[in-house]
Amino acid sequence: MIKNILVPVDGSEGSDRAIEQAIMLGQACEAKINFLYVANINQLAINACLSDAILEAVTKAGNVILDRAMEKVPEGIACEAFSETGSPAVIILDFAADNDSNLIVMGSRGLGVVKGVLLGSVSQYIVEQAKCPVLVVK
Amino acid sequence: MGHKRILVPMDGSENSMQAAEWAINLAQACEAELEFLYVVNLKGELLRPTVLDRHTSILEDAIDLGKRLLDTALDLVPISIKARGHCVSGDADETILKEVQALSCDMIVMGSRGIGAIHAAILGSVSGYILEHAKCPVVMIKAEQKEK
Repeated sequence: MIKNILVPVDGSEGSDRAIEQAIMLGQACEAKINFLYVANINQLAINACLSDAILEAVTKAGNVILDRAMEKVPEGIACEAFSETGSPAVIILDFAADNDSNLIVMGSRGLGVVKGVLLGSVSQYIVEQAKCPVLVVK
Repeated sequence: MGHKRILVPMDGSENSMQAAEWAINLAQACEAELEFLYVVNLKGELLRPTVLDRHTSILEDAIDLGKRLLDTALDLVPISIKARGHCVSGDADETILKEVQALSCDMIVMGSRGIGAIHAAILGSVSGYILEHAKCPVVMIKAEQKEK
């Protein structure tokens, strides 16, 4: 059943809990875990010209988050880290479709969310549009 | 470690059956228990004693239907997994949240859209409510497109 778990990570508390959840399920189902970090360039591009330095910094930040996630995975569970740029919701859905993910595990809200909103916009979009089951971690 | 008890709200829709099947698979992998829940949701008006006196059969029919649905789900569960069915009356969203606590479930698996949802709405109103208000992880199962 669950063979390929996709965990979008953004360094938020919710995404940390999603990582733990995914590892638990990965262990139980002997599934592979794919961690995906999406650098939200759309948002950054608001600051007009993107210098290489900024891009590099963003990529580095993503790699740190991905490395932290990978370190949590116990030996014996297959996992891989991916880094992409673009609009998170779109990239996550494309990735899930292209990689035959049969479960997406994510936090109910990420970093960019207004306080008081219970379900973040990215999570909401993924839950509505994903073709596979979505596990939302609180 | 892992999930110990999974709540599966059922409403008779095909989508909720898909959720039940998914939950059964997960329960097998995690050695978890399953609690199937059917909420009989008769609107307040119907539940007024005077109305109910004359229409007890409506409630009985609804409960009957619920029990049959729960049995259908329970029949799918392998003997190695502990599973129970619960037929409870009330508002679907509030009852589901109450039962998660009452049954000490640590995960909810449900269809992303039930019977009552408007066709255009991708996420049913009950599913949306649960997703926002549940304290535990929630798995939303998509209505399967007819292809395999």
